Amino acid sequence: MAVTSQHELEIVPGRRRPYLINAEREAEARGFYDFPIVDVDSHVTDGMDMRRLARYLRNPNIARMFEKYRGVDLRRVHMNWNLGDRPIAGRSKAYGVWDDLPEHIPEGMPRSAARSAQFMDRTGIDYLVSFPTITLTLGVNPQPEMETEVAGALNRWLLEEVVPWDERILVMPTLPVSDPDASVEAVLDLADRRNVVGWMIAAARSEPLHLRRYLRLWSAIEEVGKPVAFHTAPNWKERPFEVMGRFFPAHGLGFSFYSMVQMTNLVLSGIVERFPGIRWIFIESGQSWVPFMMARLDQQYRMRSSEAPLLRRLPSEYIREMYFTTQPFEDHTLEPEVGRAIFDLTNGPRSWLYASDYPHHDFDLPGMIWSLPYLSQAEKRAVLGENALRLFGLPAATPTRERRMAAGR
Amino acid sequence: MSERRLELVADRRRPSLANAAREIDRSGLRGVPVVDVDLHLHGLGDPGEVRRYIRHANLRRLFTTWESLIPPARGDPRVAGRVQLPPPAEPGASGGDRHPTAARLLRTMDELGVDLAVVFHAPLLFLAQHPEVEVETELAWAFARWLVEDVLPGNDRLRTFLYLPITDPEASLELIGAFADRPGVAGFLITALNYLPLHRNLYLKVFAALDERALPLAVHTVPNWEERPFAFMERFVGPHALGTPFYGMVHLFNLVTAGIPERFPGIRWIWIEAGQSWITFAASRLDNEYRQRPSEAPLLTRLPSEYIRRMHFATHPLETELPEREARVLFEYVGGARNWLYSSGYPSPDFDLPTRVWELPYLSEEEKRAILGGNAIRLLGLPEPVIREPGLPPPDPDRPLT
Repeated sequence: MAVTSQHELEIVPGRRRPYLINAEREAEARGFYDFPIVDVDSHVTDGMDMRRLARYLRNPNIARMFEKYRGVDLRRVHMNWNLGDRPIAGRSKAYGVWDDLPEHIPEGMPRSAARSAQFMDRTGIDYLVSFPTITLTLGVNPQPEMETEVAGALNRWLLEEVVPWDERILVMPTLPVSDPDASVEAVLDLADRRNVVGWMIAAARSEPLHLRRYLRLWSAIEEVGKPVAFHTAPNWKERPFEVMGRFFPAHGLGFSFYSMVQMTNLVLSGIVERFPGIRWIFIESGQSWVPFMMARLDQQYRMRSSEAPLLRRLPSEYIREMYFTTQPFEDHTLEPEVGRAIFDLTNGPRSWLYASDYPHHDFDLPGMIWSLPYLSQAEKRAVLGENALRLFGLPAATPTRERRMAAGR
Repeated sequence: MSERRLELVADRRRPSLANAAREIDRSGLRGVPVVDVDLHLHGLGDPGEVRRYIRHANLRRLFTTWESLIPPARGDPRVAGRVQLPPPAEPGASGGDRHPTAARLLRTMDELGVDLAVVFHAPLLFLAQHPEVEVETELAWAFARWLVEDVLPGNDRLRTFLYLPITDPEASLELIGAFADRPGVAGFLITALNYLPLHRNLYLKVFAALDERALPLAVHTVPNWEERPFAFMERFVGPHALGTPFYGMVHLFNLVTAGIPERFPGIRWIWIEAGQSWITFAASRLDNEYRQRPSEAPLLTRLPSEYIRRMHFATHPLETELPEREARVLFEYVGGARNWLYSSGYPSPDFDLPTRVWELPYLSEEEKRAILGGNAIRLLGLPEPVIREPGLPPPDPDRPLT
């Protein structure tokens, strides 16, 4: 028998993996097509041919890298490879799910757009915010122009090549905050583009975002009125994490940690007080880190308030006005009262936003929220869609349902 | 005139503890056994006393002042004098026939309302940061001898967790072997600010030595403003707030997933000075990860949170900001009253009096008694009941301290 790779074994041409088949059954059974669902973090660029980006890069030197190198080489040489094996040598059941594509993709349609459309059709999701995975490590790239150039190219690629294929795909353009001027320029250029609903910043970074040179950016974001999100990622190569003998602890702590770092700084430096119009979203950090931050920052603020002189309220009061995506949903189902306590402490009925993280190995379907025993029906609908609709100013429509009806399903 | 002289008026009690005794009487805490598992040894006195125990001739020569070998930490814990603290011990202060350091500690304990305290030499918190390993091992040894031979004898109300120079496993073993059975030694302590992969084989003999003796191993956390993710923060409050629990988290996440508590179930883990709310985060987060990645933690036979629920956590600094109902739920989720051990952290700027625990609205009286003393009495094998020595009068609130 010929030796085949695991990849080939798992993917039978023309056969869909069971996840989305089961997801569709669940969506039908639970009525997910009948009310709005918004996925605030759905990934694109996984498995993407990076050469497609070359034409959107303005700097010819960087464009050349994208033209000449294949994806893996490009990542190894010029992008920060984010060490750590997410799907655990294929043990994760969702290994390689980014290859789960529709059988017929219209000519010219990017794989990312096709995968996102299929995902929404089969889960009942009505809108998704597409996030280019490769921007996650741009914040720690020693070449700041890489962040500026690549973020700019991805933003243009999404708006020009992906969104036109499906109106349900929303974009939060990535801000290259290592360059405040370029970030302000991106906000002003893209604010009025169709389907732009906010701004994205990679959280794994060490820029002092409270400094004067960033105030113009926060001011522009506040004026435009669209929310800004921090998407976190672990960094096993950060010195304190290097003691860890497996990716597990670096993954488990690292994701939440970089959100903690950004939140601590933005709150205590008073940026949240100076720009009260900005709505802040923290993505992919779980839930239990938020009560920790509230308790800890309040306690420390009371001890050292002179070091946070701009604050007019307790840190937890600012945090309760922020937004948090639900994925990865920490499994509190054994102890509903703990989940409920965290939900209440973090102002969940208003501030939790469903996110899938599809097609990553630990993605959550809408059923994850729907099956929580400690939320009311109204709260589930708020988390799954209504909170995001209000935050993004979207109509309470169910475009996925309309598409299915048009297709005769 | 210096700021210190402005704050301290001669013949007037130190402001920090002026009301403590009154508060203890008012709260009805008097008579409840109180064990403080983290009283910092402040006012170190004459460095010459410790110096004579340094075996390494070169280091003995170098150790002329406390600052000469102990690495400093960036960050102003006292917020430019806004936090009022007592002056350091007067070298040679009279303590009757007691060692002056012991006399001073006992006086502090009386003021705090503490019956028995586990003392820790706080300047060693950053010792693991010293690039010369011998500095860590030799000072750990010298401090251990000084405490065990000079300070503790004759003082039944004092215990210590001895600093373990974990950077050097052999030196740690030597220290455990030499001091584990000495009177006053209640266990050992490592500091969390190190970059050691403590799950590796070279450290296992240290864990085995503690496991065999069923000894407590305390992990004392500290912040580090100079760490890259904290270095960009503009004031110390940020690195202090997040950094202190963070270094505890790093080791907790690593040790639990590597199966160290599973392999060495006799070790009594005590996590010190990181607050409370981080435990809920760690337990929830680790369980969620474990369900997704069990193949990376093959030694575990239980959920990570179940190991955490068997650990102990010092209360200082006590977080009291969360609403009562939710605070109670999160408290029970990580094991409830049986896991918590009162600690004052005195004289850290954010130290807690025992009355802080006594006044927590979401605890029963039984739970408060367990946290304030009962748990530590059981865990550390202390004589019961722990009461103040007869003949020592309760502190007089109007007694001047000089």
